[in-house]
Amino acid sequence: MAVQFRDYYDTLGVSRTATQDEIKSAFRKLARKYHPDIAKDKKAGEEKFKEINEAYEVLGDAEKRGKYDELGANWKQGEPFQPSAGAAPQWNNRGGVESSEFHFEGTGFSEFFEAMFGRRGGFGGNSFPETGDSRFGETSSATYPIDAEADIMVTLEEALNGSTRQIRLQKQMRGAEPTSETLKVKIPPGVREGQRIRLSGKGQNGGDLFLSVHLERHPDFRVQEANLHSELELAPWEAVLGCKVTIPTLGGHAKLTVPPGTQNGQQFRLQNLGLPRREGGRGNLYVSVKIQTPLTVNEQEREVWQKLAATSSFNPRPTI
Amino acid sequence: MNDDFEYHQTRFKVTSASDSSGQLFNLTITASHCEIHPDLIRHYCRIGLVRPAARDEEKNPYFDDDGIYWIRQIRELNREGEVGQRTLRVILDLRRQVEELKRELRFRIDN
Repeated sequence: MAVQFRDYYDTLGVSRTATQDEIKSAFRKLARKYHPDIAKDKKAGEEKFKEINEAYEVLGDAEKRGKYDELGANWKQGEPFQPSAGAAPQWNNRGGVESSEFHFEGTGFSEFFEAMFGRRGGFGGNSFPETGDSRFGETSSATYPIDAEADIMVTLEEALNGSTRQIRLQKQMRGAEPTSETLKVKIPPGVREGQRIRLSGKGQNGGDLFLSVHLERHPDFRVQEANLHSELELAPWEAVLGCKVTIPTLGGHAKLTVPPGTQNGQQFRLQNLGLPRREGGRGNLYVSVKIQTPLTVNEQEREVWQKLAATSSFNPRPTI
Repeated sequence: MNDDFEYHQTRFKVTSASDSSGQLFNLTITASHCEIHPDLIRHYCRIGLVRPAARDEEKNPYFDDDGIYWIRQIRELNREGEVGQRTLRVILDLRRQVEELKRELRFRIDN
């Protein structure tokens, strides 16, 4: 099935030779602009944010980026694209014998992504051969249940509160009319990266369908198990003198008192502001201080800094 | 079998719904979802191929969707007995390590 090509470099506004740091920086900049909590047009922002996340999901991962780059630079955004047999999420396709195709909508990934990186039946992923009729070089149809895997993108807000999502599953079995059904997927609060959600009997021949959770990247927070990590940018004088700042938390804001003498990289732990833990309660939010210095100063500011340099007893290199 | 159990000092209620994301299943229900005998799951637990998500006060195992996924994977690998127990253990260990490293890498890339 032909899908529309997606130019992920174009989506992030970076060149094909961009470094990982440039890609990360471009993603964060766009993510801050289009995150549904921030964007003025929430619906358009949500769509754009999904596109940016998908682009970063591919270009931010060396393996996926390599596979994507193999397509070459000749494809244009929106052009019809026919995935190769090896790339398409088909089942029992080993040896080039196409027997069934599955397509998903509502997982948070585009058809193009599904076609390029979608998982397969059997042992899933690209690491292991598929089970089924071709296990022993045979080409007859499998009659026993075969499990399938697919990815689902979950927002941090969904991971915090849980949600019910609808996905559309389209099946094209060999020699049969395509069928389509809408499935309700319950996203439990506290769901983790890589956690599987099982849809009983929705695989091949009555096997199960396992949806592997990918947490959507957030402009402010990084996820590690149930803990969230964020950065707090401070002016040098705020770090030296201390200050009170309002920081974003998942779904709200919190006030943080920065003590005098705060160091670059120092971490503050805000208890119970992370994601839900399975055993109850919530993880923590870790806020790391990043001291920013001004790129330019005006005359008046320069004088103040010079005065400080002349009077300060602080030696940043005491051992040299 | 008592369906209320302690999980890290927090009480969970086990239900038997078929599509119950985030819920835990007792051995009998897990076995029916995996279409194998409960004794085989006990055996997998005993030899360390799978680990229950929780155990109740009587040490009965409970599994989540991830647990069911791994048991079904073992069942597939072992369907015709073509993969020996040692090989099975190596495969599962490697796959779990890859998944863990992918999670860690994702976090590090983002930092």
